[in-house]
Amino acid sequence: MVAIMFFILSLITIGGALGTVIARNAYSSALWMITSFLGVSGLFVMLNAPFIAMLQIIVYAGAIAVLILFVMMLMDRRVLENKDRFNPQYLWGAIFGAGLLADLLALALKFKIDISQAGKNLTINGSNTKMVGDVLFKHYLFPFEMVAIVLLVALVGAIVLSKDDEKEAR
Amino acid sequence: MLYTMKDLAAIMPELIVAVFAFAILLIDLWLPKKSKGLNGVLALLGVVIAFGVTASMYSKNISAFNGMVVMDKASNFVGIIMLLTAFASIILSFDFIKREELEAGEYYEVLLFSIVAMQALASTYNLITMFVAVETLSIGMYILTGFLKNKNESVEGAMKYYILGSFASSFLVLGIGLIYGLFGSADLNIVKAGLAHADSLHKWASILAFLFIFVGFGFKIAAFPFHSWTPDVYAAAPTPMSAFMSIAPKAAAFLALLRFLIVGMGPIEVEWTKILWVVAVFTMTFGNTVALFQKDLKRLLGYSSIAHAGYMLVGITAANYLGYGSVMFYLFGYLFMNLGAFAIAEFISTKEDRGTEIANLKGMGYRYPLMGAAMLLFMFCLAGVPPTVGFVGKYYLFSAAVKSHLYYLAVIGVVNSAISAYFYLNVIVTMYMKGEPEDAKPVFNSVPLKVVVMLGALGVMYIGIFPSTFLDIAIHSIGF
Amino acid sequence: MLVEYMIVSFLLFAIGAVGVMIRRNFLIMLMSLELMLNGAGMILIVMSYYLGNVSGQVMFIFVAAVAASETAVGLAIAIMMYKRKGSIDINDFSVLKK
Repeated sequence: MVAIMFFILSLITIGGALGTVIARNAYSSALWMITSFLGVSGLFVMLNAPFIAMLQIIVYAGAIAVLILFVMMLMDRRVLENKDRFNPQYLWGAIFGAGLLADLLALALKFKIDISQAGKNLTINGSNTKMVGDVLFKHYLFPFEMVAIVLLVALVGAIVLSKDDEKEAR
Repeated sequence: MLYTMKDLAAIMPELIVAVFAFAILLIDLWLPKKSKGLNGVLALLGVVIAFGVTASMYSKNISAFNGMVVMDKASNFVGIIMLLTAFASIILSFDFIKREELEAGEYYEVLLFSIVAMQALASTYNLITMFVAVETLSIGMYILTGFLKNKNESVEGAMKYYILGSFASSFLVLGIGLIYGLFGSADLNIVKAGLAHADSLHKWASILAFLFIFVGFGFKIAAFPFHSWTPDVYAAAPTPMSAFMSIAPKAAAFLALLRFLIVGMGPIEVEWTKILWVVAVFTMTFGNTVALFQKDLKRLLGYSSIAHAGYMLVGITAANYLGYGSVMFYLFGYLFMNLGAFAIAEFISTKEDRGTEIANLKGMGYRYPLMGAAMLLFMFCLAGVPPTVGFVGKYYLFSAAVKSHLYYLAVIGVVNSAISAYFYLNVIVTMYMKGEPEDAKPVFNSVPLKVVVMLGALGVMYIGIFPSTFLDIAIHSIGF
Repeated sequence: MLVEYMIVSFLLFAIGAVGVMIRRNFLIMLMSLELMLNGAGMILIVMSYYLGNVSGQVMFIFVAAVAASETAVGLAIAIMMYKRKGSIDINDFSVLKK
């Protein structure tokens, strides 16, 4: 049963990813991307990480995808559907990707760690969210504060870069 | 597990810069249009105070936030380098922002926040904190590159920087994930303990993970296969920011790389020195060879900064404390020479086009004798001619390589310095011996800019003639 | 199962990497970058499960937050490109190559 679920979810994930990369226009690309993210979120549930699975849906499939679709809405349709899908140097890209994948697969097949603790220690009183929060605020407080700065910088930057110049508007 | 005031002491410089950044964010809203210059003064004040605090806490050794943050001599030394760079770049920006009519508040705010990120990057042993800090500073740099949004180059530079930067940081995450899987933690001290008695399979896997993480850091320091963004971004960004991002993020990334290599990857030193040997040779040779054909001063400086990253990688490849210390010293010297050279690039730039072609320097040595003499000094320094700091720094880097019996590497380094002399001297020849240009373009007459050039020239000469004090501090700053 | 999970995340990463290199549309490159980051982040969750150590999940939160802010800046750059040239094809932007 677990194996079947895993198979279906990973099929959705990988299929979605392939769809994103080869889809002709950007809208279908975005929809494929959301599919892929939902598949990943299902895999996270199987890995005893329900909180992260919800986060995945909210942040990736929700916030990021909606943001991208909003920007597409601002643009002309013809801009998004250009005739040439791929770069002239796409072969090099594909070769590089295949090399990287071979490298990573060799790593995955040889990878061995102690998995006697698999699936344990991920909850406090049966709650994964509590455990994540506990570790986040006890051990990872400093990077958490840094993340606040990333978000602020990105916010200010996005506004500054995309706002209309007053001189041109006049 | 409680956090106390002691934890805050370790991030004091970061806190001060962050407070000033927030202050600018708020005050900018109330400032009338014509007094936007106040933002710059405020940013300068924050940098100066943070500098004072960093200098006064120099020899402290604190570990805070459960080992997430450390404050030691190395982080303070690099902090001083970054704050000096920021100081000079803010002064360079004063008139530049007025000329280009940029949004001053956001400009300084993003600048200050990226300094906070760099300080955090320089003072942590935890890979995930390094990742967050690297990303914060990269995002800041993408924004600053695209700040001249009315120019096509700027848009293109920001786009290239963004794609390549995000690509590299995905590899960084992958590497961190693998390290975490292998050793159960992203803390470099735990990684070291795990790696010390690991079997060959774990070692092999951690070399792969090292390669992935090196992609992330190599991108920030512009090492060979990940260098291609450097000249484009330096040419596209506002000139004060090109100066800033050629020094400060590099200094922080070099220290983070040193921490990662010495502490985390210490037990596989034999393997990573081999990889870095190749990377260092290619970085030096590539940077110097391509720089021979450049026509634009900012692009030339971009390629020269790749070459200089190569020289510094020689010091890391030597894998002894003399080498690590010389990297720190070289960064310190590089600060003065590169800032000066970029300030001159700003001096000859015009608002309408870039105007930083080397041909525009024709006859400058006679029309502006003081600026010409300063440029002469910077170029000699970048080429590594004796009485300047460039020579001292290179001498120690290469002697560290010799000390570790890397004779070929030292020879390649010296040959590369000889090649580089050609294009640096070409700039000087253009300034003094190519006659007057037909239509002399007006230069950017800005008093703060001239002050920075003079300070840079002074620093280059002073440290070049009396290097021992600084060298002593730099060599003893690496204590891990 | 560890190997299978790792293969899925590596596939996600590699497909994203290929997408960044072969596509010309900036927005699709942006989406491919998201796939890469998600694949790399998935490794953290997989390891967290098999090690029985919750830190990986916390690290994923940071990766997700950073991914979101990176996308915001990337989209701002896309809008800049669109305003300058009316195109988001990266091959239309090549003034810097001299």
